[in-house]
Amino acid sequence: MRAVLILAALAAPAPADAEEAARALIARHGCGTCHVIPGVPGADGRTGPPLDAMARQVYVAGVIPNTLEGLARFIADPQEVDPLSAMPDLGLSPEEARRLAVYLHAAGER
Amino acid sequence: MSGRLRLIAVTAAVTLVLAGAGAFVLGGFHDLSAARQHPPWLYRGLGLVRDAVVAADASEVELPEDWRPEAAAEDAALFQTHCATCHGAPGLPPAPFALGMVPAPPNLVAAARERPPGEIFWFIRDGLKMSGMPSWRFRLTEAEMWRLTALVEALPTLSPAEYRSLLSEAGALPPPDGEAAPSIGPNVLADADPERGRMAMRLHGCRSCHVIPGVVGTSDLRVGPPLGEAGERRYIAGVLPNRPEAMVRWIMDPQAVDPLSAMPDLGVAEPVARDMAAYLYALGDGPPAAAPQASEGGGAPASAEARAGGPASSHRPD
Repeated sequence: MRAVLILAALAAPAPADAEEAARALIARHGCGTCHVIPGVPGADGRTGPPLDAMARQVYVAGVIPNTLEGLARFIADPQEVDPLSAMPDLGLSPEEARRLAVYLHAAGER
Repeated sequence: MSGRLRLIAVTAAVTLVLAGAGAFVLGGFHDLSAARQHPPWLYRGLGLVRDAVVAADASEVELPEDWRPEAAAEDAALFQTHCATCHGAPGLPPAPFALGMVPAPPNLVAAARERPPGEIFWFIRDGLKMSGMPSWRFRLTEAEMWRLTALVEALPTLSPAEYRSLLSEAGALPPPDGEAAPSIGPNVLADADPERGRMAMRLHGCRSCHVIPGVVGTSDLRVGPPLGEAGERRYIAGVLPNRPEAMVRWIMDPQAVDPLSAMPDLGVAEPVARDMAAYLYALGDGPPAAAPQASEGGGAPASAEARAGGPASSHRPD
């Protein structure tokens, strides 16, 4: 099943510009000050957990299943997923949150 | 001539005996205590052989035509009765006896993500020798085994809260343990022993969900976050500012810290939780220097601080 997912991810149009856009979002919102993020130089924060293998992570924030939708939901509005979370609401649009979720899910498999 | 043959035979026999004795002693095969872990190479080797054999055997399992992953309330109740006793469930612990099993029963949310339904069914029907996993033939019907397989394969789509509500719907939610949330005193690391903490983490099955340096188990496991840097992270579970009292409180009663958490309450006693915290801090450089100093017992939820401007503002003057 995982192999199928990986193949699907490889086959899907994942152009370099989508990755670049995600990296630009990560830089703009300073995600790297709190998280280790693969492919983003200087993203070595230790406030939140490392995001180096998000595709393998079973839960998002330890509270909901780690699907693309779940991860995007948490990025867009962390307190909607877990009112106690220390992750700040960065005011990302649903599209931006989804772009980041796609990037993070692919990043662990590179 | 016969003398030479006899010399060859004796040399060969002695060599075999010595090699066998060497492998027995050096390989750790004489060490049968479940309080000590497998050597890493033996654990990995056994896992590789197991996965290859199970994959071959399970390839002959045929899925029923209408089978699909599905989380039905009555199947969650069946899972809670027969499976969660050893494997735990989202947000719920295994029974105390299972925490000290070696090898630790795997977390099945992780297994479901890695294994096809045929293999899950095979494990339920056939069990696994020398692992503690029984064959459920004669005690579950084939239909029940397939329903359990459907539930297991659906576990990765369930939040701990959703799993609880399924159990509640089926009237199978375990009663709360009735213990008050622990109140943790100061200087929790004063008499703590990191090495004892390492053994305690092994014998509480922590390695079923977390990768922990110094504790042998499945590689690449990501049910919970890897704990190698947990002591240095500024937040525990993304919720509590990281300081030793908070870490002890979190280990003892995760739901008192965050009711939504997938981390189960394993019934860890306070002195044991102190040792575990000491081990986590010993893996790195200790609690983060920027963490707020203890001023209010176990620490308050971080949400107010987070909303007030993110983690950077969590340092409050005492």
